[in-house]
Amino acid sequence: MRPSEVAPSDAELVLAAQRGDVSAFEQLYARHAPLIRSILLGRLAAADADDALQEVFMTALRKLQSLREPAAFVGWVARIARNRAEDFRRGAVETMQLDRDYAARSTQQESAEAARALAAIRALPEAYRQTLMLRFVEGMTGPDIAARTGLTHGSVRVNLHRGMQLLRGALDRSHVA
Amino acid sequence: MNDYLWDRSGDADEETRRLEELLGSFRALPEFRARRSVPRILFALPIAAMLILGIAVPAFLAYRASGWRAGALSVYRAGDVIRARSPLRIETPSIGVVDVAAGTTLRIVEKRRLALDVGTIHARTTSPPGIFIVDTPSTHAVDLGCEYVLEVAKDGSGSLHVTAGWVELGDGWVQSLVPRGASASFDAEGNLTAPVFDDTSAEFKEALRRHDIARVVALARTRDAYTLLNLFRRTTEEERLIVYDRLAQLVPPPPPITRDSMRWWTPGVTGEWWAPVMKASGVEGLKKKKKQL
Repeated sequence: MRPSEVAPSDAELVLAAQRGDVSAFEQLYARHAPLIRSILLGRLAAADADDALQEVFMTALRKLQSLREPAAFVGWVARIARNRAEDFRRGAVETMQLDRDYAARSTQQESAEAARALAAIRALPEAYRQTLMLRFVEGMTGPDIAARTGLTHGSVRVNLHRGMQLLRGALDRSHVA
Repeated sequence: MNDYLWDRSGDADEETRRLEELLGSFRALPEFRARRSVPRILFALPIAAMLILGIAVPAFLAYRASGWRAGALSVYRAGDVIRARSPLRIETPSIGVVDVAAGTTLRIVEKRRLALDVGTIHARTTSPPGIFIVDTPSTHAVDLGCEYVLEVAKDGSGSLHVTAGWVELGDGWVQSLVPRGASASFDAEGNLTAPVFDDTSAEFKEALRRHDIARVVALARTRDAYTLLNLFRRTTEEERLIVYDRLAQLVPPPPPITRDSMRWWTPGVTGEWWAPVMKASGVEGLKKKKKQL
């Protein structure tokens, strides 16, 4: 790959955005929105996650000048997302009905099943929840998740494997219930 | 491990395929737009209220039984706030025991999740790793099979001291894995320190607190290799190279990890160094199952 074809780093994009380059910030959004959305979707109903995603990046854009370490952009936005999700949750009563509507499957049964699967993932510990969200909702592979999150392949494998075990157990229990 | 789950190679089991299909419904990347949309939760409140009324009564007794007990009579349930004027012990069979110090404010978020707003708790768990979580105003402590003391000051900063097993401090993306015999601190913004062992010197701890990297590496013992390995995510490129040089003296890195690779460090770069560093520091690996207390 020639140097001119190398994608700009986060730090380069942040510095450009801090100088007023809106397209640079849009590239940051395109690159990291799936990861940030998976964080929000782990805490909020799907429709709210979309709204919160917009607010998180609007907040990031407004406060971008205060980011001193441009390479830390994704961690910084992730923190904004977690705080925003907490704000949403304090004022919201989350229901699976919202997720059923959002899923908009061909049958009510499928929509309900999709919402139930999402609820089961939300109930998992953070590490498993995040990894399974990226795998199943965002459609990333294990190597993609490792590259995007900075986790090792080993950690992602463990999270996928254990998370899947826990998810199967939770779904089995929900079927029984 | 099923390779399909990892990278979609090989055959997928039916359940994995089904989950991909169902959960793919939630995949969306809305265009970035400045205009704020109306929160849809407003339309859901009546539905939520009906659901709550429908399930609340039959669930009440079971819910009460599954709360956190304090003494013979009191039961704390989700939403309750404990403002301890004197030391208090709460316990629940599926999690374990939490001693709450006087002056502590502790909220029951849900059965397996507490929120420590201010004060001190001493937790001893019997639940499987990853189940029991304590939120603080700026971070989270995830029990990985352990006993620990968690303190939070009025400004939201605090510290964690682990006396058995492991605790993951942080949120999965910015985290400190704190082993037995070590502590870590966090500030009001959720920034975490590297784990540091109780038996290290006061000078080392002070140098770490002041982020005096030159002094830290000069004072580091072989057992402190675990602390050094955790510094990479908290240092500049120049400091990383200094830490690398000392850590490489204490625990030679596996071949793929070179000095040059530290210039573009991500957590994955040093992944293969963890096992030998943990061994050199006398740190036991995470246990899959827990013993009963």
